Amino acid sequence: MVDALHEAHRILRPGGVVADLRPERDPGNRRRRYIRAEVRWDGQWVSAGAMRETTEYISDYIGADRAVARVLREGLFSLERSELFWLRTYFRDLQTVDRHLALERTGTSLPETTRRSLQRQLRRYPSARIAAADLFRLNVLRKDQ
Amino acid sequence: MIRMRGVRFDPERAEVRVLLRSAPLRGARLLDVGCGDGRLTRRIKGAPRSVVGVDPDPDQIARARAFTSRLLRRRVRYEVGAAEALPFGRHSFDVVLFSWSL
Repeated sequence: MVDALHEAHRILRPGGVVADLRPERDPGNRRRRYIRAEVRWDGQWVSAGAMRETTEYISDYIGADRAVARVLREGLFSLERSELFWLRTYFRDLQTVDRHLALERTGTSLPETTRRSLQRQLRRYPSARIAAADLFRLNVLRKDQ
Repeated sequence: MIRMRGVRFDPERAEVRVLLRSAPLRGARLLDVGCGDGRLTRRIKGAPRSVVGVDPDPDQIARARAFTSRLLRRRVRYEVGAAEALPFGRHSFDVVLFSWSL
């Protein structure tokens, strides 16, 4: 990760920027990360619980944070901006959620309590859409002149 | 990310809006590191002057090229390469984007 940032520094013009966009860990507990499971009904989001990522992913996020901290310490970049935002993925039904988790997010599980909660919400609002809401961070690092 | 029926990724375009608001993409020479099949590369194509997507997986790069229209290929191109040894010279870009790839 540090090597990738050193390469970015080499190919950037002086004053150029790195935009580092990636999943953010739970602000309350930096050793875990939850993805919110929601249903959207009548223009509103209703929470149905959480999906949890494995520690393998968390290690990657910690490694990326450390790499950014290191290049800032080295004086190669300065942190110009950092912000959090929610990013949602929509699913047609629960089967699609399961397929997506199996193929795309192999380290993420849908706990039974969340599954039951989603099923309850979908029985109540049959045309509601299911979504996974991920907390993301954008860091903007500027290469020194 | 694999395209899957019944899945819509970020239809609100939150990712693109945050990038356009907070990173100086307009008129820039942009490198998208770990671009995969070029999903985000294509979404932000309107702002930068030119975009290069790079990914170590040749299959992903082939998909990215296939998804890119002939018209767009004037400004957007894709190359196979690793983030730790980028196949570009010094000072070649204004913005380097790591999207889920750092």
